[in-house]
Amino acid sequence: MWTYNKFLQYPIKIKEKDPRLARIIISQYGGPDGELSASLRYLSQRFGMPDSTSKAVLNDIGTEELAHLEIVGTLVHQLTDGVSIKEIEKAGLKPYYTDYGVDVFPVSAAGVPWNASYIACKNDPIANLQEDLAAEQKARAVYEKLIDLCRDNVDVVDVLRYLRQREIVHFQRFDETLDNIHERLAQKKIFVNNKEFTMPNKEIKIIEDKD
Amino acid sequence: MSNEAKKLKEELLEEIRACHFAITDSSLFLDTHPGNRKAMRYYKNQCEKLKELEDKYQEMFEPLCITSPCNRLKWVEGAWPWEGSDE
Ligand SMILES: [Fe+2]
Repeated sequence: MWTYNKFLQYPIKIKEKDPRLARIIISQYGGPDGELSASLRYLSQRFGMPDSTSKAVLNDIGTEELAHLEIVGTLVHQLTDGVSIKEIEKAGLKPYYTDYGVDVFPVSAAGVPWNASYIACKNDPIANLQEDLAAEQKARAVYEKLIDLCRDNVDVVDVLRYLRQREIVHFQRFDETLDNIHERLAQKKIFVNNKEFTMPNKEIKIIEDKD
Repeated sequence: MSNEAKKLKEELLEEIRACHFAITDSSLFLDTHPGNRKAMRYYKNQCEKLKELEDKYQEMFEPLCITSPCNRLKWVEGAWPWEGSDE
């Protein structure tokens, strides 16, 4: 379970509102490589992990990603809160404003609503962790694009740099987790293709066992 | 709230945030480095420090978590983190 801490993981006080930046930053809220995808990916994958290290890492990083979701939502909120209709129009936010006003809704920068197909759960620790490693790199790459595009707003760039840094740390921890699994596989302490687990259909299992 | 109290509140919250982050990061490190004694020591120190800071803040100002009964009414009244307001 979770309990809420009534403070942000990283402080945010945006002095200059700018809905143009909100329009692109929203991608890290509800886009393919955003924090909603990250948290749900890890928190869903953790159930099927075969060893205690990967369960812990997925649980703990998934939890931190929820804090990052809040940070990105806060950025979007503070960049748009109380801006005039004219500014919204100038920022090209008319379609977003029509559907969501200035609420924070999980869509990508291109306006595509969040979709579960952004994430994968393969019930296979190597496939899952490889997906997670790629996800952290993709998120880092997106933050770098955003830092380029937001370069004139120092308050925003400061927060984006923090989030980018965390992606690097998460990548490192996932990499160690994957190494650990490879090591245990070599020692035959865990079995990735545990057929009792990955092939619950007994008939298939029997055929497999014959070869 | 006096300016002095406001300043103290802000400073305390910054310390809490830093401490909480130190715990998040070192705890994640310990997930994959369970035998690292230096990290374990650091992690434990930060946990103790956080408890002291949070107790102080919650008694003086407002709850940071619903598990704290201090100043309960301020859970609803106080500003929310995303608002970033000066109160
Ligand atoms: Fe991450």
